[in-house]
Parts: sequence; structure tokens; C-alpha cells
Amino acid sequence: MSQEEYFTRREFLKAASVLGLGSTVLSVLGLADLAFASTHPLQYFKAVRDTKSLTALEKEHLINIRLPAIAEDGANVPIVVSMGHPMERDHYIKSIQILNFRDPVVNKGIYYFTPANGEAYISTQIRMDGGDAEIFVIAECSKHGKWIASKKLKVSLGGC
Amino acid sequence: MAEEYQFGQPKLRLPSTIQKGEVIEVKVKIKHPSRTGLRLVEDAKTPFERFVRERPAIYIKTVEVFYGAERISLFELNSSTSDDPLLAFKVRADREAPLKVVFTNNQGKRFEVTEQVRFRT
Repeated sequence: MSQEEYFTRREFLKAASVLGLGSTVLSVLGLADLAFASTHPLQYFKAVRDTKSLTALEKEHLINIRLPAIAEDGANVPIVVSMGHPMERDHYIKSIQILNFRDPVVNKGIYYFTPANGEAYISTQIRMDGGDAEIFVIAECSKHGKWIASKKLKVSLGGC
Repeated sequence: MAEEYQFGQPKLRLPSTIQKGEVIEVKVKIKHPSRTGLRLVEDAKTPFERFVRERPAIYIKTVEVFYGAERISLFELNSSTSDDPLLAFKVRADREAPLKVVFTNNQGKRFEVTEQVRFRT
């Protein structure tokens, strides 16, 4: 590999400043969503975006997250994740994963299921850092891949 | 002086009436700490020095659910689960068999609880 294939320091700084300026311009123009879209975790998975007009497939893979709007104690935040998905031998929810990207420990557990569970449902308590947070839940269907949903909450006192 | 950790045997609760083929909610709780063992350094010079290890980490690593001989669920947890968690999940009660839940912590210690599923109306 020759030297020319690498960025020089000067070129890198120039590119970085252009990129930085670009995202600033986009956000100023009210296109913050466009600048944000490239890094948002929702885009890598299938998600139900419009809950008012659901298709049959979306209705099946709708993830219900029950969380308090304001959690008093971050050391013990109750969360319930449930899905109305069928649990048949060839079509079921394989796993549910709970994530919060703002916390020191991002992964809040992976819960694996089989058709013998009858329903993809988990109720647990998690530790969270204080402040505004967004909980992401990824559910894996054996036929239709990974689906994601999120819910926002506020934690009064951090419990990490 | 560091606080002493409290451990306890897990407890499993089934609904009082179970019909054949019904999807039942099973609740299981355990007295077990969930700690990273790290301490936050307020005046750290670099981000890499923000946490120092004070004690070994202790948390529940896996929870396995057996219905009869079959393993029907596996929950992989870490230190972000709360202390003394109460977990609830569903099981399709299609046969009378023992329901066993096995907790394993990161130090390899096992705690288990078994309850018989009986059809009652």
C-alpha cells in the first residue's frame, strides 16, 4: 500500500472541518433530522414509525414498553416489555434486548425466549444514570429480523 | 468499612389457578447484590482514571428457566440490573411438570428454585 492512499494530517483537518460545518448548516436550516439520521440507532433496524396506520406485519411486531415517565430512584427503574407476537414453532420472538446508550453499562440484559413461553414478555428492574434518557428495545423475530422501539423517561436521582 | 452483601434463596410464584394451555405469568425474586465494584473519582485527570476498582464485581449473570427437562428461557443479565430483582415472564402451561429457575452469578455460585405446575380450576 502506498503512502498516497492515507490522509495527511492537513487533509484530514480540512475534511473534518467541512463535515463539521456541513452538519451545523443542516441543523441551522432546520434539517437537524437529516444530520442526526446518520448516527441514530433506529435506522439500522425495522421500526414501526406511524402507530396510527399499522400494516398487519407492523401490528405483529409492535413493541410495548411500560416505563414510568419520571423515575424517582435510578437504582431501581421498573420496566415491562411485551409483544402481541405469535409464539409458534416456526415464527416466534427469539430475544428481547434492552439498551440505554447514555449509561456506563449500556446493555440492560438480553432475554431469550422459545415458543414454550407463549408470549414474549419480560418485567424487570434496571439501574440508570440520572437525567433525560431514552430506552431502546430490540426484539428479534425468527422470520422477520430485528425490530426496534424506544421510549423516553426522566430519572431524578442516578443509580449507577 | 465496606458493607456486607446479603444473599437469599430465590422465591417463585405461580398463579393460584392454572388451566391447561393457559399462558401464565411467573414471578421470581432473589436477594442478590448487583454491583460493578467500581468507585467514581470526582477529580480524575483523564477520562480513563474516572473509575477505580474498589471491590470485585458481583452480579447475576444468567437466569435459566426449565419446564420439565426443556430449557425454555435464558436471561443474560449484568451489573445494570437492580439489587434484589423481581423478574416476571410468561410460560404456556401445557403439561404438569416442575418449573425450575436457576440463577448463576459472575462468581459461579448457583441458586435455584423449583415449583410444580398443577392444573387447578
